[in-house]
Amino acid sequence: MLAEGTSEADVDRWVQSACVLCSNGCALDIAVADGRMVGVRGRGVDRINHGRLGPKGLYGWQANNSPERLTRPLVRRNGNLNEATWEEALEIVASRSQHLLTETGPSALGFYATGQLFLEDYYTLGVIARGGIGTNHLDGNTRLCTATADYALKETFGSDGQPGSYIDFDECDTLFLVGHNVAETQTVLWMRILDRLKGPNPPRLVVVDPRATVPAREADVHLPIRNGTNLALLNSIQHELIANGWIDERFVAEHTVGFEKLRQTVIAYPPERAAGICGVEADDIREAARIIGSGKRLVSTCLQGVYQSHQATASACQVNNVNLLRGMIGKPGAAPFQLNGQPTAQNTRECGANGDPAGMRNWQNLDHIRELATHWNVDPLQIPSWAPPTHAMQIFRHCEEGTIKFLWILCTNPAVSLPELHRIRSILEQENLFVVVSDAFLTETAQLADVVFPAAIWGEKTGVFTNQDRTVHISEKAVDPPGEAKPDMEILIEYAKRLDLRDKDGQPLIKWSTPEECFEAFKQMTRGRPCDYTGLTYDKLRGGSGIQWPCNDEAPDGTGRLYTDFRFNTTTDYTEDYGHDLLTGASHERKHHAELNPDGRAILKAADYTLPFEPLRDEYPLLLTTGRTVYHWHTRTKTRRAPQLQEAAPEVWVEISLADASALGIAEGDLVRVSSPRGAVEGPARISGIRQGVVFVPFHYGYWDTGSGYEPNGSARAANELTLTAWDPVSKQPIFKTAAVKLERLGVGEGAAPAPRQTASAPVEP
Amino acid sequence: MSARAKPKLGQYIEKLHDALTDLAGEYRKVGERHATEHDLYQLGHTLAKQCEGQADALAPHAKRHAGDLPEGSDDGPRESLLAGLRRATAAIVGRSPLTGLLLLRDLRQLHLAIEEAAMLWLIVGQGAQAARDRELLVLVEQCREEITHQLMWITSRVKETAPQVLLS
Repeated sequence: MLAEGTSEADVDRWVQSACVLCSNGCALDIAVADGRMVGVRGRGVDRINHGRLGPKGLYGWQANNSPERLTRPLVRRNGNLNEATWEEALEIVASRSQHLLTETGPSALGFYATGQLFLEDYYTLGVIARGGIGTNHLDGNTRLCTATADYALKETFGSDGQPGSYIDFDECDTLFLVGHNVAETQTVLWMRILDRLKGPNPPRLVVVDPRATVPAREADVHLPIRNGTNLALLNSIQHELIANGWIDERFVAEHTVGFEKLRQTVIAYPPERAAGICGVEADDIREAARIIGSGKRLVSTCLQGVYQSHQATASACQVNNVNLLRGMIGKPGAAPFQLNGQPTAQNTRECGANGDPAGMRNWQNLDHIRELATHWNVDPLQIPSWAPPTHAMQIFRHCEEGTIKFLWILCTNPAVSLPELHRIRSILEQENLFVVVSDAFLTETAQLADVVFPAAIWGEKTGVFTNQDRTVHISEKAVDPPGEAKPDMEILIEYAKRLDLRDKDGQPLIKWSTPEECFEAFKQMTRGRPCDYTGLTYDKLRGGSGIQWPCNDEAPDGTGRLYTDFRFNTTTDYTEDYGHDLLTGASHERKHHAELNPDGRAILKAADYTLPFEPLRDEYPLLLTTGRTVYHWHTRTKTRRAPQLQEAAPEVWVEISLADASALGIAEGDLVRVSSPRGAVEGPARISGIRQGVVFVPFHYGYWDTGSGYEPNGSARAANELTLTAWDPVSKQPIFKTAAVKLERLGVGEGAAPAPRQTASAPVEP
Repeated sequence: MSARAKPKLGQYIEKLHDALTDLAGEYRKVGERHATEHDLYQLGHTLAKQCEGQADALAPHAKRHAGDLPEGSDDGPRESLLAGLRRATAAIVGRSPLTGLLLLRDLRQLHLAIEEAAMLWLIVGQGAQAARDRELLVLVEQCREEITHQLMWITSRVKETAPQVLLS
């Protein structure tokens, strides 16, 4: 893909990189002509995409060249954001921080990052926030996308890290997708699956999704469950596996703990009961279980349909259980995949920019904290480890109550992406909260900031990032950032210098100034941990394919599949987490873990189904779910600036079933209003194959391009006006998939709804 | 099988029943008073239901050992006037840093109520063993596990809350 009017001969050079517009991490080269980005091409040598790219990968790079890029720092004066020098802006931010550190202490400062930066940005942020400032209030927006993947892996296998490898999709004979619309979340992975489905010996496919997604239409069994009932369904499938003897008893006995408790729990979920809870046929549950129970090589996956529902971690653990009961892990074509949303979410987790101790360490294990303190040369007491890291929703709660007075938001847009937006806006608007935003564009959130730093983005800086099957890619700087924009790592280092953050010998805390120096420091910190990067260098990542961690002396070429010896990261001294009670989210302590003594065996976690937090009622009789469309990313900060992507999905829409449309007298394209107890959204109706009683609204659409600033003026269109402030008790992932709403017809629209027609939102004929 | 009635065991089952009903009320009260702490609101109601479920399951055992118990409180999922008021107050005062101290106080109170229920379950469990009351023992085992998790949860919540309240 090259810009119009550019031919291959015009390209001065191709610069190695990978795509940052989904968790797949497709390798690509950036075309540069006359110092400008002019296109991209997939890298054929790479193990992830073999040269393929999805629509966002092909077109999204154009945002880099947008004339709307921020090029100078902005500082709020007399209520308005005005251009300032770096010196002025940094000084204001540093002096406010210093003042709060002196007056109140580290707990008055919070940092809210992302899943879109590079490893080097995250690690620098983590060391500054936890080792330097010493605050526990550091999280990423990965809390919204992959926190549950992280926690489900920790609960079952003792640590984060995808057990399987992409080649397992090539080798499986059974695919079980739970709440995972892969055709729109990871298009190139879907192409890989399509190669199988349309090729010889296709795998059998079971899909759980309340929408008629493209994968659901290809499935042998599609279970369009009522959203929020994953746990009942997964318990029932395990009921069938156990009742029919479709389990690998020897594997379960030798390599797992917790089977008896799991058996006692799932025995209460025969298909008839689950059918009633989930609203699907009992025979379809049986058939799904038969397919899963008879496959020889099972790949299971889950994503936001699981992660953003209530009981998220409990349900995600059941997907792990299904593979463990079948003995389907650590072998070709056999793995559960706890997938990621964002391209660099894995690095947010590894670097501790989600608040976890870096290097997949355990906050309750003092030895782990001491190791970090040694790497950073700080007093162990400096690193907060008295409680789990403060999760994003609690950080905003502390801002609301006024105990956090300084919030630095990096590369994310909570004023559109967090639940219950009127609440979020009112928190960010508070006079006594000082908001700093680093971004490439003036997002809704940036409009609410006191200081805005213009950030260099992908293609304008060098660094590495890691996809959802642990594949590490290098992304080289191709062009200069616009104006005075700087990479986040450099901004953070400038900030640390001004705060005069030092180690315990009085030397500067941050000992690197280039990304490569940062990477070298990071990788030493990972030695011996699950995400061991010690065998990687920038040079090794250049030229060929991406490489999967762990990569070290024992595995110099990286590691395809984890747990091939069926030994998991669950010894008490090594584990990243002692586990949780799935109902309350209570943290287990060391003694509980030691008592369970998994000692290298995987942990089968069990839980009963509970009702969603917000029950349907007469006034709000429909169930809302939010989600993405393939053509956009997050809050459209970049994809709105790529004409082809914007044209493919220009405006919000409201997706409903034919039955609900008929009952309410709504025709395709009619203007409708969706309301919840928290707000209302208006848009044209798309009558799709979605489950009856369920309403879908895409979450991408905010206000920056509507002329009304950061908030609605009149009718609103951000899906999160409707969602509720609630989260999973274990992963703390907010709940975007269940809320009670009502629907009204407002009038005739302008033809068909502006929703894509080839995706889950495809129209159905009345 | 059910053994001969044991009146003193019955008395303790009644005490436990009352403690669980109180605890359920305490969960709802804390959840509503701190409705701006959204996890407390949601989980408070979930755990209140769990406690009421335990109390309901105890009722037949109390009957066997000592006679009838008063009917359980019935403000279940419906919202009482007082609850609405508490939540509205929470929304108003929820933006004051002083609510932190109130929150800590309420969590301590809640902790005592859970401890009380846990201790009574222990006592009733010991009685059930000595009385060879198998049915009651099954219930004790299940409910003690739930109460243990409640105690772990309040510990986790206090660990998270205390530093921010004390140092802000």
